[in-house]
Amino acid sequence: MPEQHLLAADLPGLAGCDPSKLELNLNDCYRLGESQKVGDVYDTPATLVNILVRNAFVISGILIFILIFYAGWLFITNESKGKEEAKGVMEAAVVGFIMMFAAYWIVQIIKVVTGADILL
Amino acid sequence: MPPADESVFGTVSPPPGVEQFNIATGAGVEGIGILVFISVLIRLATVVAGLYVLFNFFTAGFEYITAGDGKANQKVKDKLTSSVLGLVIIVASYVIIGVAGTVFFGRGDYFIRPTICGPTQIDEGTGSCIARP
Repeated sequence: MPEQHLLAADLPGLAGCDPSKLELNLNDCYRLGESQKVGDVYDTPATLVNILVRNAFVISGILIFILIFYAGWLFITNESKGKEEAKGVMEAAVVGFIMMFAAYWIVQIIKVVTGADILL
Repeated sequence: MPPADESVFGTVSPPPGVEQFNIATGAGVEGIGILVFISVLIRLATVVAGLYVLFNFFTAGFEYITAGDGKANQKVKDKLTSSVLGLVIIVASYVIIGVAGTVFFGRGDYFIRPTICGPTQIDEGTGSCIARP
């Protein structure tokens, strides 16, 4: 059986990815779909961070909704003890969300105050 | 070697239970149905909570009737207030999260009708998500 030498560059959508070349651009080699290069979608690491943060806010909002709901449940189900627990749950949810929301600004303030080279 | 335009792993089709929630999103089988699923769970929990409060009212009333002395008064009062308060919190949670969406993100339905956004769905100019799941 003849040995098959399959170069990545031979695959469709992987044009420009030639591992034998000295200057190898990994953007050309990693693919998202069959023909989509990673570099076309994520041109900077910030793109990925932006996507994650955007969706994290939505998911955390849904979680807070469920936590408030759960606090209500605690009230109903075990009377006097439930009140303390429910208060704790509510507090944790609200403080957590505000911290998350303010995280960007906090880092921004640190950047301004210290003059550190943070890309915001 | 498989043809280049076909994935080595093939495609995974959604299990039967998952499929109906995917279709309920309006995006067909490709839709992400977990949000619909969570909605169903929350709706169910609301109904169960309402029934539980009703049950609490009954038991509180029963306690009040059967207790001969005045000691039951405080206990029944606590039970009723916490039941009502709990139900109010559950019902108000929709409003609370709606207000939070308006205050923090300027859109009341930010959490009620959430969008899951991928890198290819972001509008370059406005930075907002184009597709709704």
